[in-house]
Amino acid sequence: MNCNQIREQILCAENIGKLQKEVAQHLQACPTCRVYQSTVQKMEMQIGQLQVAEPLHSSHIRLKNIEGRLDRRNVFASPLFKFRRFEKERGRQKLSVAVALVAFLFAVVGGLMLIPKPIDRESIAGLRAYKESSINRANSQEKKWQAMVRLAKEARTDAIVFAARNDTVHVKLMADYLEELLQKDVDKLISVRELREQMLDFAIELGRSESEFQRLASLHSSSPEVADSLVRIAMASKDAELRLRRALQA
Amino acid sequence: MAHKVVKPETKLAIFQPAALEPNLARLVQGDREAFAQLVMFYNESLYRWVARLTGNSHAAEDLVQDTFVRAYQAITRLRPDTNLKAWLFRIAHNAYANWVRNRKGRNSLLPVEVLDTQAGPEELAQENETSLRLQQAIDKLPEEWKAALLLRIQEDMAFREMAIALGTTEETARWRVYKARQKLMETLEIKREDPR
Repeated sequence: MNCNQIREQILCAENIGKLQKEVAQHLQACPTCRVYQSTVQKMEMQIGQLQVAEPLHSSHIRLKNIEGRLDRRNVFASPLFKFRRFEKERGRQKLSVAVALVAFLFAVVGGLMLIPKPIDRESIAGLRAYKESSINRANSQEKKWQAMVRLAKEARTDAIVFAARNDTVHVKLMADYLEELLQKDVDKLISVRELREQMLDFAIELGRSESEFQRLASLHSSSPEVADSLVRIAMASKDAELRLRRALQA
Repeated sequence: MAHKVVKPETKLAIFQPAALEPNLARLVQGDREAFAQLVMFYNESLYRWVARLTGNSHAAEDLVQDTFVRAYQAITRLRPDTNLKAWLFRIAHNAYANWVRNRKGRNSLLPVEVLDTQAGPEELAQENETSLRLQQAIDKLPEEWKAALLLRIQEDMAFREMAIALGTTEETARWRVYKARQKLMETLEIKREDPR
C-alpha cells in the first residue's frame, strides 16, 4: 500500500490507535504517515474534549420531568384507548382539520359516484360502456338477453334515423356498435338453453332487420358511406341470425 | 448567552452513577425503577451528543426528554438481545431528525450556544480559539456525518452499534465517519504531505 492508501485506512479505521498490521508496519517506516495518524488522533482527542454547556436540569430533575410527562400521558392507563394525548392545541387543530378534509373528500367522491354519468353517444367506447353496464346490471341470463335485445333495437332505430339525416359519422358508429353487439354479446348468451324461445324470436327479428337494412342501403346509393354502414348492419344481422338458428338446431 | 461549562471528564463524576447498568428484563416489564436507572445511566451521554448536534442546550434538553418518554412508551416491545444504548441513541437520532426538519420548515436557525466562548486568561485564549475552530468545522459537517463522528468519538461506539443507532448499515456508518474525518482534516487545513 502507498501513503495515500494508508491514510485512507487511517481515516476509515474504527480505532485509529489500533490499525491493521500492514498499516502499522507502514507507519513504523514512514514518518509523514505517522504524523498524519497522530494529527487525526489529536483532532479526535480535541473533539472529545470540546466543552458542552451544562444541562439546564440535573438528571434527578430530568427524571422527575419525564415521570411527570409519563403520568400526564397516562400511557398504560387503558389498554383499550392507546391514542396519544396531544400536548399542544396546534396538534389537535391539525388533526381535526385533516379529519374534516378527509371526510369532505369522501363526501365529494361519494356524491360524484352517485350521480349517473351521461351516455357518451359520440364514441364506440362510450356506447360500449353503456352496453356493458346495461347487460351487467341484469341479474339473470334471461334479463341479460332482454337487455341485449333492447340495446340492439335501440341501435337499429338510431341507425335508421341517422341514415335519414345522411349523418355518415353516426351511422358508421352505429354499424360498429351493432357489429360488436351482435357478435360478441350474442355469442356470450347463445349457449343458454333456457333462452331458446327468446332466441328464436330474436332470430326472426334479425332476419327482418337484414332485409330492411339492405333495402335502406339501396335507397342511399347516392351516399356510399351511409350505404356501406347500412350494409354492414344488414350483414351483422344476417350473420347473427344464422348463428342463432344453428345454435337452436344443435 | 454564556453557560457554565463542564468538561466531559468532570461530568462523569456528577452523574456518578448510582448509574447501575439498567436491567433489560425489568425494563421490558415496564418497571419504573429500572427505567429511572436507564435515565440516570444514559442521560448524560445522550444530552452531550444531542447538545453537540443541535448546538442549542434548550433544544437538547427537550430532545433528550422526548427521547426518554418515547423510549418508555416503546420499552415493553424490546427484545432480549436489544442493544439498549444503540436503541436509545436511535430514538434520539429520530427526534433530532424531526427537530432539524421542523427547524428548516420554520426557517429559523437557533443560535449556537453550546460552546462557551468567554475570553479567558491569555494561556487559555489559544486553546479556546482552537476549540472554536474545531466546533465551527464540526458544525459545517452534514448532519449525518456529524452524528456518526460524534458517536464514534464521544461515545466510543463501534461501527456495528452506530449502524443501529443511526438506522443504517455498518458500512454506511464507517463511510460517514471516514468522510467526516476527511472533511475535518481539509477544513482545519491540516494538509497532507505528498505521498511517496
